[in-house]
Amino acid sequence: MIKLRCFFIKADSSLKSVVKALAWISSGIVFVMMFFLTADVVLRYLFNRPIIGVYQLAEFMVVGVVFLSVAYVQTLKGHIKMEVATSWLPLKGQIALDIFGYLVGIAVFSVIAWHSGKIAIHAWRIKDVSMGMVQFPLWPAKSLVPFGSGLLCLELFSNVLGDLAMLLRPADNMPEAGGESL
Amino acid sequence: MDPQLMGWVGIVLLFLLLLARTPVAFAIGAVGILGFWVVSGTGPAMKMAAIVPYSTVATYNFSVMPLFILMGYFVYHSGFTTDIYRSARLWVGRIPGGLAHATVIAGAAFGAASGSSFASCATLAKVTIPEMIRFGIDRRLAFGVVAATGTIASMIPPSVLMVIYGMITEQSIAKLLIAGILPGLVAAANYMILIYIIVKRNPKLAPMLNEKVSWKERFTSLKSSWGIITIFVFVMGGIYTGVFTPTEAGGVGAFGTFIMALALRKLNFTTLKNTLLDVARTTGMVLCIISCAFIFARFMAVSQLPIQMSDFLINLDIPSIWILLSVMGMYILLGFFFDMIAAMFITLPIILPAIIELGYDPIWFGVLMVHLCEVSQITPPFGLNIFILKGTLPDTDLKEVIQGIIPFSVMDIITLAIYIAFPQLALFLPSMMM
Repeated sequence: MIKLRCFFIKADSSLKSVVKALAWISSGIVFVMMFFLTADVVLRYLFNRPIIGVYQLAEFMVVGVVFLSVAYVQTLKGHIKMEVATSWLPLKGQIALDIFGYLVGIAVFSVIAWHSGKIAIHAWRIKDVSMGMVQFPLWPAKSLVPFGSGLLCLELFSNVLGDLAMLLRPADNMPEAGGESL
Repeated sequence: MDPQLMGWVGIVLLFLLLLARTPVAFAIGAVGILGFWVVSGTGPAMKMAAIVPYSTVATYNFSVMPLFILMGYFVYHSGFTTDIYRSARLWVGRIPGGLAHATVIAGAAFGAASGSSFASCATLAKVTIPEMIRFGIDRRLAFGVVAATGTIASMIPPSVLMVIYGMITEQSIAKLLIAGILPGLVAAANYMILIYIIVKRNPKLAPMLNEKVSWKERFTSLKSSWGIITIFVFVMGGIYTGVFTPTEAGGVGAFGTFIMALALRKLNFTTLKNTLLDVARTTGMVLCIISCAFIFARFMAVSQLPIQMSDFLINLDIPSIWILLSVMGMYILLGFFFDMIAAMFITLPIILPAIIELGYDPIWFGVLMVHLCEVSQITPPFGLNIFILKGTLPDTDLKEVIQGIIPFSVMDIITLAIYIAFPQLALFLPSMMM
């Protein structure tokens, strides 16, 4: 039992560091995007030399920003939920509902991850490319969806375990329910 | 099962899930996939779940979102609110309720650079409330002003809410952004009128400031604000004339505010790092909900509920204005106990087709919707801004905040009536665009 617990704690902390690293990449993309679009505007209007393929690249970048950060959002408990209607419940009741919510999330995002994964593999096999001036391969952007969704599922799974552990703990040493809401 | 009935079951289930603490994105996605599955079968449902998240996010228009958020954060860090508040005070300080008026002006100006009313309310509260209390303004009045003014940021472009509305309804984001300018200014003016009336009736609420200010001081105080004003005019002018797409405007605007924050030496490596991480987090959170909302919208489409709804509403034997007013009333009620943005995701795919069919302009309706979101942000008992404010001063009583907000909520309803009575307010500027 203790061994199993150690394993989960280790797995969770390596998951967290992967997720955090991806969040850094995601925020890096936002920064690059800002320069990139400004450069395009300047080059186009001042020098009449637009960056080719800027539309598609901007699209790929948002996919990166979003799907590399969804799991990170969950580590911060940042996926907003409405807490007001249940704030009168005892803490254990709230935690039980949270577990239920995370399970719903796992259901949704495992479906998304599995089926969008098939689509990404398909895009890779048939060498699908984007429409437009430059034909970018589509599989890298498309594979971000199953990748990010899968990580989100793992993170949710770890939250479910953590919350279950809290539920089973005796009530007197229960920490304050925290978490961030926007 | 009858698809329309299934649609209704889905909506009820969704509301229940949301009330039971299921995160908004997960709840909307779950009901969307489940409902689509029941109506159209396994194959189509799985295909839909596979395609929609990518096709939703990989849209050029969506890339404006992180950029607007980024722009707001840079403005927040540049300490611009403090500057504009100071200079607004020099300009309007001698009117009855001067500091309260200055808060409204600072709020409107911050809104012109930031897209989120959450950020706006938090910033304003930090900067203006201690100052107003120090000069003897009644606490309730101070809370009411800040809560209400914070919401204007959602109306005045750049506005994240407008972008969200444009995404759900597939309307021109450029036109929506421009449409918010005049209504935002009207809302600010109405708040100022309200403050004037309140203070005239009971001057004790806001003691006069007795400082002599020369015109020279007034103009030199504008010096620190010109940067933001230039960026705003450049960005919105670019969208208005069609020189920029909203996404390009977002890029340029974020870059401009970034340079400005650097020039003012307000940005160091740590703040930049945290800012970018915050932007990634907010974008991930918001766009995750939006992709799930698109899944839900597909379910609504196959349930044929929107068609049934608009058939029903159009064939009602009452003037369309009454239908519009009851829709508004419904949203106001919903806003009392429900997160309005989530409510928008759920209801717009059903309501909007009917509204368009009744002959109303979807851009104008967008302005109304954003205003309703603002109203719900300050309506007790659950309005977000109330809780932001409660956190600003240590010994704040929730009751005080709510009492302060009530007159401003009433004003919001009057403002809504003005928007409905004069659609030109929203539609005049966009109608001049190409």
